[in-house]
Amino acid sequence: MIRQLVNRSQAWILPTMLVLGVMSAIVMGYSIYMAVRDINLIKSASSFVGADNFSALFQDARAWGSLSRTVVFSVSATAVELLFGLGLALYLNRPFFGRKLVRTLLLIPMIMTPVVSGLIWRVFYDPNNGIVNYYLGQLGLGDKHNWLGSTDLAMVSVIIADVWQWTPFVFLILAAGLDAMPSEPLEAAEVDGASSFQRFYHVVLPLLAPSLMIAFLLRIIDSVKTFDIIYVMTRGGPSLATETTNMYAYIQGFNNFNISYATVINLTITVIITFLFTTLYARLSKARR
Amino acid sequence: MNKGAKWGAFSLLAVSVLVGGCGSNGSNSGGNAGASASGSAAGGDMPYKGKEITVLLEGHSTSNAIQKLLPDFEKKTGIKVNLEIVPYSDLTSKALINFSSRSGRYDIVMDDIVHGYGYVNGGYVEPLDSLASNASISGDFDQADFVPEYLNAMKIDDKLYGLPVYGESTFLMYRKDLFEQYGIQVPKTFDDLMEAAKTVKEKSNGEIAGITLRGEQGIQNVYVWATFLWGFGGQWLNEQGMTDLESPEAVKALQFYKDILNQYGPTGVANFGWQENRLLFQQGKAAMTIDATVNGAYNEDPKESSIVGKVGYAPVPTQTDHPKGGASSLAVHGMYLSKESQNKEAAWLFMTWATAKEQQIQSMSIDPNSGVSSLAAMKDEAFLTKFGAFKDTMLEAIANGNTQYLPQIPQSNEIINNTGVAISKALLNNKSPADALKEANGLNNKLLSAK
Repeated sequence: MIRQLVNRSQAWILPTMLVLGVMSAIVMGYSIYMAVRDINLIKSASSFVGADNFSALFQDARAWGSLSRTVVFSVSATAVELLFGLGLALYLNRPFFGRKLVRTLLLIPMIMTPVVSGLIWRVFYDPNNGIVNYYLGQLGLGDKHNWLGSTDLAMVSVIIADVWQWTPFVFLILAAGLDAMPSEPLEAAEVDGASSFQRFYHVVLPLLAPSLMIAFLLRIIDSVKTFDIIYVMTRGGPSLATETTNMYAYIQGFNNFNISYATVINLTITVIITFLFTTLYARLSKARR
Repeated sequence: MNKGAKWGAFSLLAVSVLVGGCGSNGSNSGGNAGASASGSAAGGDMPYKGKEITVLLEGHSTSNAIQKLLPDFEKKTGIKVNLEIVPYSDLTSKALINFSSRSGRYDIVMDDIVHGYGYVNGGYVEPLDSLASNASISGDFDQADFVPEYLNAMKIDDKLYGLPVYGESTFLMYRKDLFEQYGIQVPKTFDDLMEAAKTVKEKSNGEIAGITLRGEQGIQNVYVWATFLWGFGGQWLNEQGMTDLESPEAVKALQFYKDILNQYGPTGVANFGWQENRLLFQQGKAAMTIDATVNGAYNEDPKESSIVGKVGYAPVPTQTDHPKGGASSLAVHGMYLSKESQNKEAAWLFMTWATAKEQQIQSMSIDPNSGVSSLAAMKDEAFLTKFGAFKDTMLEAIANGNTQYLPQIPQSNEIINNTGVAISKALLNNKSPADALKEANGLNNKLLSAK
């Protein structure tokens, strides 16, 4: 009977499922408890308010604005990271002198603590003393760019910092995918006279699709959660230009101490994201089959 | 594995990834384990020997000095003290989470008076008057040695809730050399300030910003903008206790803030916090700034600043002869005693020791700061050599400092945040000053009437 269980793969997942399930249930349960009360840390008592927090959220323009900025941030950062990561992986997927060194150096941004990289970028972007403006000035492209202090550029600047940090991660996954790719289909295509674009589009890309999907999902989930670099670089400003939902929930929870309301914001975004991603995941895996 | 289970597993993963909150980093406990009292002292001298207290301190030079001097206290009293030092931005949420769970983990919490109102409102902290009147445990407590304005700021409804550790006010800092070169008088009104900023920017061909101020959304820009709010004759709260930010005075203050910064301020000022603002001025790239008195110490520090000795200090300008309150701030950070503390007397001994003049004077040679709350420490040689250039203007600013400079009510944090967003919107021309303030005022009043 044990043999039977061992052979069935579910048995191996069971402990993990159990731990994850219990943890999620506890956190979820407590979150829901907080969501239906009006807990504010500067008040000594709280009371049951039912769905009031949720109806307040639906009328909260600042919350909806932050949700749209979260989408803009996550989608554009992930898209650029996938594109750059793919390009890098393809470009470096050939033998050359110092390949290992280059690949290792590329990973440095990724292993840096996000708070530190945010601080570094904040200094880089400094409009009066930063090196970004200095080098742009040297190139004759103007040295008065207002990277973090203007509504138009602040979001772009934060996305650039995120792309700098996480493109190596995408590169790592895709490079591993390329390394593991069987060479026969490519050789066959070459023998059949396929052009290099045809080989890429009809052979490499389909074979790389699983890696691309993993990279995409991990990056998009992670970028929705992004908090540290925004907190350090702009605190959601200027004029809310970079305030994502996470940042807004932080302000509500840890600046205004509206713990219940912050929980409601996070619960709502969790539901939306979970629904979106499970649908997306199902679609994508169906499409591959 | 069937499809349902797979979906379930994936959503669980997604949930667990997303729900993970914001971890607090940077909490380094600086507990000083050693220094257990030797048994030689008579037991009668140490009635609290063997007691243990835990103290949450703000990352600040005073806290560093307290940490260094702590073995003296442990030796003297036999009380074991665990210090936790965290950055200011994490301090209040950490304290409140522990207070609200009634864990009694911290006996003493150091924080800004702005948050003290929330602590008192939540019933988390203990009035100190009965401890202070108990002579047997108040040997270190000398009321007369505290800067009187600082000590008064720690009182709510005539009850003393904390002991001041350090404080500051705000003043105008200007470049004496540039003012002389361009023939500018020290600004007395905001019109003078605008004129001076214009002159510098124009005569230096845009090389030097006329003025730099904090623009970063939130407490950063509010802390400086409030000078203009009061100076133009506005106020935070009216007699009915509602916010008064729609007043013509407040609108004028924001219009002025926006105009002076957009016309004569530095590039990128909308994301300037205390640090960026201070650095730009120290590097000589701006002719004036209005900020905390503690900046004087940075201006006069040759390791930090390229304008040592070139800075003049003056009271903040005001526009009206009849302000509703002073236009310079009075910010005080003090130690509060938790209601849940099991060792209130031992905690009181520590609070009085840490804020006593002997320790504050010693802190002058360990890690000096211009905000010391002890009058005796201000007479210390180290204080005078380091901070002499701005000491008198600082003391004048403190004497005129307005305890209501920021709204002193439990909800102040949220009001400050709403207002900070409004200032930022006006600075970036996303909303007119009047509309931005109207929006903030609406949010604030909704909050205040929701009691």
